[in-house]
Amino acid sequence: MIVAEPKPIKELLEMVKDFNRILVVGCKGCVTVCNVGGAKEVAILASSIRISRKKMAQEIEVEEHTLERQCDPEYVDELKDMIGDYDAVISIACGVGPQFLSERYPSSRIFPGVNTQFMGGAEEHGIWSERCAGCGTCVVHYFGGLCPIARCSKSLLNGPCGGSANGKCEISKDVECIWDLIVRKMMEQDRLDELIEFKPPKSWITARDGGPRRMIREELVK
Amino acid sequence: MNDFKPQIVAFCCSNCASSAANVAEGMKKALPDNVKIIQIPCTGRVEILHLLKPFEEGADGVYVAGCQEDSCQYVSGIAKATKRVTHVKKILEELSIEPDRIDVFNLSAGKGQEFVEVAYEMVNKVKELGPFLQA
Amino acid sequence: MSQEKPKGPVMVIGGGIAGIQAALSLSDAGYGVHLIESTGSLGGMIPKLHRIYPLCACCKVNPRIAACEQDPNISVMLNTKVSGLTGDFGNFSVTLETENQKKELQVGAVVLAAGIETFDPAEHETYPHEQFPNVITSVEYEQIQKPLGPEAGILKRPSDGKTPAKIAWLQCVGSRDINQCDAPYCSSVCCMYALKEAVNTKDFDEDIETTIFYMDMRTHGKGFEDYLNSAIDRDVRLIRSRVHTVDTVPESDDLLIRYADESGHPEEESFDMVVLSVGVRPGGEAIEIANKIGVNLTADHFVNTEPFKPVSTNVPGIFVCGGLSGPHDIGQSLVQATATVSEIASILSPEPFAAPKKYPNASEAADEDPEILLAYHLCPGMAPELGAEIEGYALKTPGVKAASRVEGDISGALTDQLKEAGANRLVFASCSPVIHKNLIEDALKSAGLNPYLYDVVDLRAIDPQTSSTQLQDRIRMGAARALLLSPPSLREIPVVKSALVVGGGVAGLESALAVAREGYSVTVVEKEKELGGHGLHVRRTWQGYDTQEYLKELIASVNQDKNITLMAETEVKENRGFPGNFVTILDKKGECVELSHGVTILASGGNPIRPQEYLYGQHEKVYLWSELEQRMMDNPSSIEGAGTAVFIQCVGSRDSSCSHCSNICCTFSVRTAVDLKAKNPDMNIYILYRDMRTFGERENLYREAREKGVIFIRYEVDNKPSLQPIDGQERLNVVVYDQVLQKSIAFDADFVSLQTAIVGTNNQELADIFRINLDSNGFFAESPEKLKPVDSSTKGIYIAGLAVYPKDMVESIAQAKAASARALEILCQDTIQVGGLVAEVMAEKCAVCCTCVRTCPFNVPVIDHETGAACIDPGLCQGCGMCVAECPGKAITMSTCSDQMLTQAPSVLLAT
Repeated sequence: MIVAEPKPIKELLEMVKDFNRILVVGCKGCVTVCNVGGAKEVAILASSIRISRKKMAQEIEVEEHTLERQCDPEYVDELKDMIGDYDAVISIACGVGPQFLSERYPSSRIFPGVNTQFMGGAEEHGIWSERCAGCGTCVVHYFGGLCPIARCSKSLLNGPCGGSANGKCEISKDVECIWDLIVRKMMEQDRLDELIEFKPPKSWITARDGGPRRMIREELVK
Repeated sequence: MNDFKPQIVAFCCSNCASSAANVAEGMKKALPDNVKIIQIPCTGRVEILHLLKPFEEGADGVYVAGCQEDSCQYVSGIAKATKRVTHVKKILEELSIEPDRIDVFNLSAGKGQEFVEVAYEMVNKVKELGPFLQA
Repeated sequence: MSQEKPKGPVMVIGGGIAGIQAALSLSDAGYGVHLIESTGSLGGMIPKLHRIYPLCACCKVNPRIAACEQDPNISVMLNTKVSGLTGDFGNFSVTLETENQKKELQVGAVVLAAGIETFDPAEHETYPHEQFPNVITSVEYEQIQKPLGPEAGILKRPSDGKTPAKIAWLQCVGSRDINQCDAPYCSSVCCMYALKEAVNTKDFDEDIETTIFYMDMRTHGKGFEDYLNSAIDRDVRLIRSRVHTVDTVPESDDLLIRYADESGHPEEESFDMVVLSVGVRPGGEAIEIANKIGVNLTADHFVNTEPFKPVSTNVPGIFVCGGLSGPHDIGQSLVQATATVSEIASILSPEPFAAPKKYPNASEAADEDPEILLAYHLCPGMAPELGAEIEGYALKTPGVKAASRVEGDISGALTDQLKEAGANRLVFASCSPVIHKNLIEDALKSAGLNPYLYDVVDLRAIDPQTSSTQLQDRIRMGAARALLLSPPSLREIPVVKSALVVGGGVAGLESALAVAREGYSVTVVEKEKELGGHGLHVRRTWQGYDTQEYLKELIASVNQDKNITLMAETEVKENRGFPGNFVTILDKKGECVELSHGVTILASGGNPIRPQEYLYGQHEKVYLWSELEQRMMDNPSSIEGAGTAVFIQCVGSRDSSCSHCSNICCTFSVRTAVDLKAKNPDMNIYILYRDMRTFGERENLYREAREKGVIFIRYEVDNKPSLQPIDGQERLNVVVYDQVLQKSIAFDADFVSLQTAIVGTNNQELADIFRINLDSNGFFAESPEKLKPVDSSTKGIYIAGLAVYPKDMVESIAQAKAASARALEILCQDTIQVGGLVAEVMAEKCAVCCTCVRTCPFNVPVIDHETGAACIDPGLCQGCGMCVAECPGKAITMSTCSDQMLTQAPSVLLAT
């Protein structure tokens, strides 16, 4: 899933300080599951804004709404009858949400309420970590099922580097050296020799380096 | 120094806080009338939103009164509530509101007087802070 | 067979915690119970205590007392004494005396639960309790600590009211003493309560110095050793010593303690206050009754129980539980009290006082617009004007249709008033809402309503100066919540009338028999080929009973019982369901068997660990204790002929790898030493120990061993004894540092027995399968609900035997019988109600994110792949609401404490 974290409320308050009619829009997709942008967080953010304005003795109207997903136009469409009543809209979906809203409602002021972090998963309740960098050409099968692009600080394809010590990366003792894990895993599977097999350089055209990406699947297109 | 009478909302666990109330009653100790209690089956039931709502309604302070960490009938209820209170303190800080306006207390039926004592402690603390909304 | 049993009510003599528990459990099993208490109130010792170890459980005691008083099947008689008992089992005639009248009652069986008294130091000069005001007993100390005591919980010393800076506890006052007080036994509970009092003192004021003078620190129960360690971490000071004089410091009220330290060196130290940790003894009146009715007593005047029948006396139909049968702690007393029910059920058919209540079908009134009855109950001492005020305000509160006062029969009055008012919601105001819960729910059901359509208003802790504001706030809140109540769904599920018992050891087999005897089918699963478990390696109990003989008979009765199916070499693979309706998948030598059952008893046993030290496995003459027992049974002469035997205690126990005390090892070594000395008086026997934990009447065995010349040498954990082989594999040289002589001593041994830690057999695996919690030592955890020692953290799953904590066989049997009594409470019902105060998933909103699965403290929620949503079994949910709070999609609800209630509450409360 896409993992995000809340923007500091202070920053959000600053963004919307000139507006008195605010709509907070959540998303029931990834951000609900990672506890940052679902109906619950919509209510908490709305309440926080109300409290802050109340404290400053300012008028405020904050409305709460949570869409099935903010990355599908049909759901984004649901806001059409209400969005015009608000002078600021805070989307607490991943970075896709505010953009879909901005595109669909060109005259509205849309603000992002969360900082989108990475594609990853839950290690346990409350702890998430990165697994995928979206490079466009998956190669994890070469590396014992572990991705060095997303999980090596330098995205090395031929690690480990000299900064690996005791299984940790030099950038922090809390960061595992993925290359240490890859090598161990390959040893366990008795496939260490595969790591020295020659592979042609990875093409980064499929990654962001090839510019913004778009995908068309003819069998699905009407 | 001031005759400000803060309005406090308290979320109390129906197990220990209720038994503590029994002891307090036996000691003829009374809650101040500006502390208003919401009973819940376990403090683990309280959400961040529930802790914010009283401020939205103009309360000057909020607290959660639950069991001792080691004696929650539902194992981790009070631990959860404690973490949520800590989070709300952070939110309040970001809203430029004194984080001391919210707190969590561990009661036990054996020390029932604390049921009333924490209420007064909270009232006095919030009194020092002054009204949440300036008149 | 059950037709042949006589029928009748039961009399419980003694209204302490054991008597209360026995009465409640008997009532649950369908018996009418006369609960006789000689004082003016129920509760016994517990109301005198400040806190109960380890956790505060005070909140659970009052509701039990109230439950006894409210139960139509329990007739409580206070200020009543038993003056005579005649007749036989099934037909006893008991004479009762109150202040001014005599009464005869006919009962089928009797439970003696008349409890304990504490030792009175006044009679003995050694303890200057009478001379010096600052020398008090532990019971008096608890009174001072109690917030409802005379000092309102403020610690002051009696002489001058000053907060003491230094407090000393003297252990074994009126225990382990044959010279002064005729109490040779160990009172078993005092080490723990002294630690508890010291820790509570630290809670009051961390700076108060607390010192405990003791001989052996006996923290042998479940979790006790961890409590000892935490007390040491809190700076509770422990001095191993013998105190000989307590005197005053001249010109002051302080006290000077003169004592000899372990090496005999004289020391002295002054304290502000001295607490005498007084021992317990069976109540005087109780002994009188026991004597009158011909019940045998032990030499220490406790009621003697029959071999392998821990709650049965020598008189058929008369049972015993609690402190009367030995110095037991609260947990053991509760176990025994519950166990009496299973014993009584085997010989007596229940005769209830009141027929089971029939409720009308729930009407549809609940679905109509909410209309509230506000009823209130005023306790004696509450201002009567309060009533008018409550009624006046209630009638002005939105949604309240009627307001009225209830008195006397609360449940009946509520039912009538609900009907009369035509109300479909109830708000009940009283001074102890938790205690009235059952009555309120009963009333709603009787009125044909869903029993959870109520809210409570607490009338306690109201300031008379501001009472109207407080009353109004609380009434407004109660009514607002009641308006938002929607009836939670309730289902009646048929109970599968059979039990699964995991474990074919003593605990498993005893519980299987107890359940099967009542006509229910029981499946016993044992992973080994042979039944008997750890019991197969036990020669004798500490009392000296022959274990193998008993085990043979037990296995034979299990084999003969047509209701019991034995499945050896079978393991549990999976379990699902809820009380009344579990399904377990078993693996019988590769064959998969599916079993439906209403209840589960886990008695999966324990084993001594195999040590990595003391040459175990390297030297032929180093035995594990179970191996020594085996040898003594198979080839006794090989052991009895030894010139020197050495027992090393606490091997792998009470250290960093395994912090618990294994409870039975000290007594095992002493028992074995006494037996060996009887066979071969010339044998030199050394027992190397850390604390001798021969608690209770086991102390007599310890004394006997010393009298017979067994040598006890204490060692410190950081200076353990060492072993060297001599003559190859023939003998061993043992070196140990003697704490008394303060030097190392060495001797040669013909064999060494290692008393190693006992751990659960496969607790982790079973805990995962049955979704129950383990304690910090890896044993099955008791229900966190407290005071339910044989309930696991999951409803309908009961626990017994070594898998719960190490204990001797007789205690395991008591636990097994208690577990089966709890199991029978479910099995005797035709249906079980599920739902009510539980969390419910709205499948359409569920994002299957697993948050609830990860949050629930009882591992109840699971993801149901067929519905594509989380599923919370209403039969297992305990109703804490933690998942409701944590669910990110707001897909979980709780109708009795909904989000709407909690978000609206502040506006209701703050509206003026």
